[in-house]
Amino acid sequence: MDSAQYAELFLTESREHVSAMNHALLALEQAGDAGGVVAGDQVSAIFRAVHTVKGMSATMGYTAIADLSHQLESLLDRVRRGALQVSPQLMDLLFRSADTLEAAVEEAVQGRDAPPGTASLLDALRTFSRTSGGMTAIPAPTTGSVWSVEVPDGDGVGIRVRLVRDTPLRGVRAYLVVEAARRLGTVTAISPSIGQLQAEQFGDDFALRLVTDDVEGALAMLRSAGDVADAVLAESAPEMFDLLALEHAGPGLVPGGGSAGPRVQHHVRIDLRRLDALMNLIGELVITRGRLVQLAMAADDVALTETVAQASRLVGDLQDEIMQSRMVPVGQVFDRFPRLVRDVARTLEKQVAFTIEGTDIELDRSMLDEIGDPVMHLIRNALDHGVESPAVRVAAGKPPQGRLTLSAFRDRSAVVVRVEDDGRGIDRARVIARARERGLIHGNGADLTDDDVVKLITRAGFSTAERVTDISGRGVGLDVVVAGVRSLGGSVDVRSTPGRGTSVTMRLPLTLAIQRSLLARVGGETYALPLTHVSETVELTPETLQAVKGREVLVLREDVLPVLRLRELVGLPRSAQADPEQVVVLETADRRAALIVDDLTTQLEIVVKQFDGVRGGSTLFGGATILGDGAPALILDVSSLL
Amino acid sequence: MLICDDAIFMRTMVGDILQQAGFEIVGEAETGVQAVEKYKQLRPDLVTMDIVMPDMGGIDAVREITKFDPGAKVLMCSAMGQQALVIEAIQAGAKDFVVKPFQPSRVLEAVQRVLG
Amino acid sequence: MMDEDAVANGPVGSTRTLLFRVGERVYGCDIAAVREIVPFRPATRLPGAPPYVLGLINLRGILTTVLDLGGWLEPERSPAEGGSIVLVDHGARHVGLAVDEMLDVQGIVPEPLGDVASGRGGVLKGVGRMDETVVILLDVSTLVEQVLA
Repeated sequence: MDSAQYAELFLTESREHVSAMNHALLALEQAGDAGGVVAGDQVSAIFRAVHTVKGMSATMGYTAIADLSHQLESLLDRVRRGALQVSPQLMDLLFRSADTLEAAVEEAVQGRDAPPGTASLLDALRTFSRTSGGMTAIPAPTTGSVWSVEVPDGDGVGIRVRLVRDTPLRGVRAYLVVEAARRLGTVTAISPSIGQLQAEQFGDDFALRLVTDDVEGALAMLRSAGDVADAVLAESAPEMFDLLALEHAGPGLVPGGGSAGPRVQHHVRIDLRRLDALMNLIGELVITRGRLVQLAMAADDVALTETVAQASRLVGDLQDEIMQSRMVPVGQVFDRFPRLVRDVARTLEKQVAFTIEGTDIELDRSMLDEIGDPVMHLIRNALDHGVESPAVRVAAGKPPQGRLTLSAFRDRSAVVVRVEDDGRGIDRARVIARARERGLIHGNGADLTDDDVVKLITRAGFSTAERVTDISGRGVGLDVVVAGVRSLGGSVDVRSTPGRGTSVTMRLPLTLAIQRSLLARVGGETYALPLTHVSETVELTPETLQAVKGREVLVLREDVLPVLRLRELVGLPRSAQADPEQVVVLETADRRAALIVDDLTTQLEIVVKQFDGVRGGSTLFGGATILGDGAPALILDVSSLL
Repeated sequence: MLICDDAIFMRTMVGDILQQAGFEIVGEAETGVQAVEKYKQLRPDLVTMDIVMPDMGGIDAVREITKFDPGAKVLMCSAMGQQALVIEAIQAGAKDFVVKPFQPSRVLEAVQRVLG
Repeated sequence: MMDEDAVANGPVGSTRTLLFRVGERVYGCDIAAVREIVPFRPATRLPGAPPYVLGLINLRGILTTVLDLGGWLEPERSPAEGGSIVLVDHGARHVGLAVDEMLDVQGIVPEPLGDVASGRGGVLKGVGRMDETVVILLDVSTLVEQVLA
């Protein structure tokens, strides 16, 4: 069978099962000694996950994973049956197994060997099983063409049955043959015993005595049972008996006591590439719609305009539906973090209560795939640099157990993801010292506001290799996280109170592919401003513009906003004419500014496309789109602008 | 045909094997409870049943299905090392079994045997 | 009639070369690097980019950066406003080169450049002859690498 077509499915599903396994492991660990029913449920859940992975991997021909999950399953079965107690050593082994399993799954799908450490883990699993209980001896199957068993004494004809060699679950197969024989007549004797057959304590063949009036028919039936190589009459002369009533142990008909049952969902699996292709097509369609609407308006034909408007709405609905089909709950990514927090906290000998909120908030698949790493780094940083050790916390008058919260929520057309701790907060003095070292600031930094200090951490080049500890491990500095989130069209806001904690808030567009944007014009050029970062637009009146300390600011209600002029940003001369200009209030997670443009034309969905930038080109643009008339327009990267 | 397995992967694979052989898949179930409900609703000619499933395992599901329809034809899908469970399933009314990893020919042979 | 193979492949040791005119000069580049040639079209300006970068054009939904080859070779020239755009590939990246006029594809035997034009970062990689005209051969991969970020 061509396995390639299943590899993707295998990967997705195995990841889910490993994730489920990790969850159950955590719950099991928390249930601790007082486990009881909870522990039993968790062990069963782990067993199910491992078992499913085993079946899938064996089918895919990933023998390393199948072997690993098989050993794991045996171990778990012993735990489930109570033959093995849950101990810290066992938990460690199981956690380690989950990690190796996860890595092995990823490697296998890439066509690579199992990760290093798989062999030693297998040994460890075997050793654990062995040292914690006896092994069942499995008799070596006898092979060859000679009959290995004597036909037992009894009534009826003697029948020898040989199974196909290496038949899986030989014991069950033999049991099925005996069952089939029982339906054909009366089985008076079996050798070896039915118990031995079930336990696979026999070679390839076994024998039985059957009372039946149609020996040939019975032999034919037995031969056609599954995996039977041969079924023959033994030499001993048959004695004919009357046919006895067919035995049927079937239970009587009982009206089904059906339960309410779980919610039944109707799902269809769609290849992700197909979804991406659909997304691209709808993107092109949206662009064409723009063009069509323009043409229809120019044609000034009522019937045409109406039809185009209707088609336009349909395209919009279609787009919504396709977008919706790509949405996945953030829980899919968040689910792996409890495990991470546990491991890191343990290594650091810190106590942390980790809470996740808003796991059902949905994001486009493309975006979700990208945020996992930034969030992971934030969590690692919070544990490493934020949450203090229990002793330090107690000394500071805090409870020994720190709090770490990961939350997600919707805010207009954005999704906000926040990582918050109640740790020591950002150390102002250390940040300033580091920034001076890196040449990011000069002087002693005494004039810097707290906000400026936080900004320093997020500046590119702030973090360095030497800051990377074992725990941040593969972890990276906040500046790298910020850059990553910005490249996704999002923004990051950091807030920190010394001694009270730090919160990092990421504001993300729902999807990478399509953004609702405002089109702004300056000097005949069009630029797109993503609505994720537009809080409002106002007409510019002279009295709202003021100069503070030589810098232009805009007074908007109680806010004083720094002023940016799009013309200057894109290297055009200041507007000469006195036409009323427009102001767009831009916002990122933590900053706001007023952007002055010549004119705002329209609000529309744009398809974000990447292009190869040139050396020395502006970094203010996070991509480009194609307008209704086919011309490219640059998309302003508001995060890097502010 | 009704396919019961908690893994989409397995459902897909079994489904593909059966469909390629010309069988019609009338439904899928991911839990034992669903399997029983769908059996009652769809009355399939054959059920493939995974042993380990959440919300009522495969064996209990076989028991329920056989209670409802003693003539039900259930083919167990098992893994190596589950002999005791498979035997229990057969005692509960399952007609035959296949062992993972699935080979299409073996699955189809078993299906033919069960359909008689 | 000339031997058709000679026309198609040129003399021994020659490279199939796309020939085009920029200003008064004839330039050539290896045809293997050329994906497509399209008529000139206005580009969307890229703020902050050097003057020889014309900007972005939309090529069937793909955004392509276009360089003004004339402006790059002779910075004092005014930017191109017509002619053709030669699309060249370099790995996964692609760039359009605006030229004044397409001429021909010929087999050209490259000769070392000598001291005529050192510099330009190795983009000018040799000379050749088309009939009586001297052709300057460009290494477009190097050009793309130099210009793209």
